[in-house]
Amino acid sequence: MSAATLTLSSLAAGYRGRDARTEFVVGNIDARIEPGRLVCILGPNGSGKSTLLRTIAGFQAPLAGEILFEGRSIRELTVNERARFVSVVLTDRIDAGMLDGRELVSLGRYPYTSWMGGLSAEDLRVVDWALEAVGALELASRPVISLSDGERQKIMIARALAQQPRLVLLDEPTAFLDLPRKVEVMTLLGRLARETGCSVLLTTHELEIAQSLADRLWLIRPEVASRRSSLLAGSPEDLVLSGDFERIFSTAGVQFDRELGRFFFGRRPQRKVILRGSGLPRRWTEHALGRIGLQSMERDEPERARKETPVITVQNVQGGYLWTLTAAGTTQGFNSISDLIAALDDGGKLE
Amino acid sequence: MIIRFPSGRPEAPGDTTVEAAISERRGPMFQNHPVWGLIGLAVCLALLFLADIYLGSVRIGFGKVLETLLGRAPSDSIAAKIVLLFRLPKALTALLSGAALAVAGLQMQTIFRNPLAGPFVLGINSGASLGVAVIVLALGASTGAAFLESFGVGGQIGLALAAALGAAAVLLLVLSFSTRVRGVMTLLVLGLLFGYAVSAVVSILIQWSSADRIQAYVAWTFGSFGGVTLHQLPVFAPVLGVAIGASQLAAKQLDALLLGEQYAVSMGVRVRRVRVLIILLTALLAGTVTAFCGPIAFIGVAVPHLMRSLFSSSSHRLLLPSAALMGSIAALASDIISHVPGTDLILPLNAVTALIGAPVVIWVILGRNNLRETFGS
Repeated sequence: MSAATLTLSSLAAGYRGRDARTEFVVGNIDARIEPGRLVCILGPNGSGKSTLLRTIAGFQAPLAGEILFEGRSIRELTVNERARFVSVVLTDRIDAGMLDGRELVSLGRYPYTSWMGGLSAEDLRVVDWALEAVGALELASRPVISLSDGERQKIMIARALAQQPRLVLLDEPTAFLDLPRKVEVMTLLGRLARETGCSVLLTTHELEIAQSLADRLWLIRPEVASRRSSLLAGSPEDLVLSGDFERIFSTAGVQFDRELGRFFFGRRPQRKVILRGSGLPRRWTEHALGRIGLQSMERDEPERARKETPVITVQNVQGGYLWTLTAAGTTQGFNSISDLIAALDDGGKLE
Repeated sequence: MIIRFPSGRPEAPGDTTVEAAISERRGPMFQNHPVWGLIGLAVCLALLFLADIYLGSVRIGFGKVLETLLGRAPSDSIAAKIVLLFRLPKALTALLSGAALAVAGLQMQTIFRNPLAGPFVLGINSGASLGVAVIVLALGASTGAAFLESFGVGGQIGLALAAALGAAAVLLLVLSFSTRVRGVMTLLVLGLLFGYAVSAVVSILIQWSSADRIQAYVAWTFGSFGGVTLHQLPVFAPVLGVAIGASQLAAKQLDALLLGEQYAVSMGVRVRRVRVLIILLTALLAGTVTAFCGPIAFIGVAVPHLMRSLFSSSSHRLLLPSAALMGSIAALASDIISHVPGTDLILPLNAVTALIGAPVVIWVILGRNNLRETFGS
């Protein structure tokens, strides 16, 4: 076996309960991570993403199977060896006390320092490197308590890097961040993986970001009835093409569009309308119609021609927009989308 | 000795703004020069130690006190006897007890990640109180007296023994739980509940006791550094000295625990082992002090907060030694005040520690919002 950074063989992670109701297992996992890769674990809430991550981190023992770090079983490693191999960023909000950024990152040197915990010149160099790697040098002297969620996450990632690991595990690193910050953190992790050769394994709910940035995805497929989940690994594209992505995540109210590679949510389209118009006003009218369960079409479908389909037209008039709705033989004009929606949502008008 | 996490990497040109930002950020007293802070504390400690020996109900010239301490005065004079047999052991006891309680309190606050934790959070004092209450209150005056007699002078050592047994019983209980429970919070709740149980038993004992026995018990709960005699010091001092020294070695582990037990595990801390060791050390520190001096309140909870404020730091490599020094200072100062210099009056030690100390700490904490910074709540 070549030395992949992480190899999971026939791994089962979870909690053994006294009976089936308390038992929860993610089982039969065979997967590996090559050096320098960014891998995202995706799965619905409660499917066992964090349980799997915690098991790999060594917080809980595997129920069965093996976890190998570069070919060596997790069981053979001393706690110190493990700490030099894998580091974590957890979801718990940390109480950093009076630590400033640099002090917090320095804590990551724990597995390398002497029994007194003093930092050598080499330790200081690594701490600076870690701060610089995540672009947080300017946060070094600020009290951690004063940092924003995004800044704090950078510091926590720097702390994980200061452990000079071969593998960083992150449990929902983007959970509390706004969209630009989410992308920033994920991009940063991808870059770190490529540039340092240190692999990154993280759980996330950001399906679209994960699709565009991860080298591989691990999809956890929950089986509600048996309380056992299984894992599918592959490149994002393969998982989309095979339809696995869709099968796992599409539920009532959320549809995955294989064409666009993104999710649609809101009401499932119930009826169709013809929408005439172009550009931005068309785009947002379509958006609003989707919200109330109406699918917009360019033109009438041949088989529907017998039945009258409502027609909505949007056009520019004197610096504003005008919407007209023709349905059941009557035509109405509206000055705003909300008026249009109100009329449509009133029901009856479309029948 | 480098105390703080080194922040002084080779200074790059233009780094002055960063330095300015550091000194600006919280206006700490000793943040950039922690060693001077420690030296200042040590000087204070030395002065108070001498003052504690010098001041007392009997006036003895300072020169004479110094001569006696240096062994140049005849040791059979009354003044020398007062200094050597009474005041010196008392000052040494205060010095060691204060350091022990402060260090124990700091360890508990970090382990439990709780600002209200202190040396007695595990119920060590409750156990000791129960031991003493049983001896003083439950056993009749005659049996109690006989029991105490059998242990020698004044029954002091008997009380200490009872307190130590009680504290040890609680310790065993806590330890047996600590290896079994996952979260450390369960221990906190256990300690709290055990405290209630003990108070209940003690109040039942009080209900059925005579006034003089109640008086004796209450006097013990007031706390005093005067109970340790020159003959007991060879037991008391080495135990505390070794335990305080050993605690200083836990700085690295305690720092790692600042981020919580999971992060500590991920960094290679053997959390359960460290937890048991810290609990043992705390029990040894707090148990020994309580056995000999009674349950001394306040110092153990307050001094760690005071040091975090003073140094604006959470680093245990700085907090452990400074808390030890400040604990000694607080204990010596309290002892001096409780013996109301120049009079025969003696105030209850616990009343002094609380009355003088609490306002100081409230002022420090409110002034800097430290609790929120330290414990993020």
